[in-house]
Amino acid sequence: MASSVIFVLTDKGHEELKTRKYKVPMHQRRVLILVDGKSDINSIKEKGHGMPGIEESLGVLEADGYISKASGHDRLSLKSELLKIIKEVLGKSSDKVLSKLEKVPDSAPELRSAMAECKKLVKLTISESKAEELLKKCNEFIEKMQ
Amino acid sequence: MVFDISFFVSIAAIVVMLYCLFLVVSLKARVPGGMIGKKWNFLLTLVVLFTVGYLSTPFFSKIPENILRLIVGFIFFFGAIYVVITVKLIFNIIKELSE
Repeated sequence: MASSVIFVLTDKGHEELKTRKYKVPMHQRRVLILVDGKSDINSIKEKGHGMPGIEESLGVLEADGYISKASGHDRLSLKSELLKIIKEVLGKSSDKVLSKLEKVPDSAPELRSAMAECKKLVKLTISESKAEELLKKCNEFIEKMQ
Repeated sequence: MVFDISFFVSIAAIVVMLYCLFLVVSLKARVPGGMIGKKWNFLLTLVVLFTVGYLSTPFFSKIPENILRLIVGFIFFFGAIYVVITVKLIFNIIKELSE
């Protein structure tokens, strides 16, 4: 299994976590808890602190329909996270900036330069202080993700 | 009221100023704040003032001369302020965009 694969919980997986309806063995349940739709297999192994058989458990959980491989849409992309930050910082005034950023490819250098442009737009038309805050938060996030 | 050429020029000026007022008001919603938004409120106030001033021009013949001079003086003064704010705003926008 490729270590870059990201898993998401299926409805059955969510149900099992809430109700224990399907009585998944404890070692598999521990792995199921670690599946968050963001972490790849390596990250899950790190979070599991040396828990044995994580990869095998993931395989079984997938085969039993508790988890599935994330499609591109399910995967949390850098751009979608930046869009969330923009909404959080600018609130109702975020429309112009969101539509500008949506046209930018989902890569760190392009997003970074687009954010610098967006900062100018915010500074000129929305709020000078929010422009600084927005750029700071977005750049911090981009650095954290790299 | 005398319907001479100056009357028709005044009417044309009023129409242009009303159009300007329409533009300033409609753009206001798209510029809620920031560097432009702050200045925009002041420009809006000045455009309202000019519109009122321009609307009085067809009645200039009925206004006493000393009041007339005062009105024209004020329109010139606020016109100069308007130009300064606009030029500074353009300067700041160019500066910001070229950084």
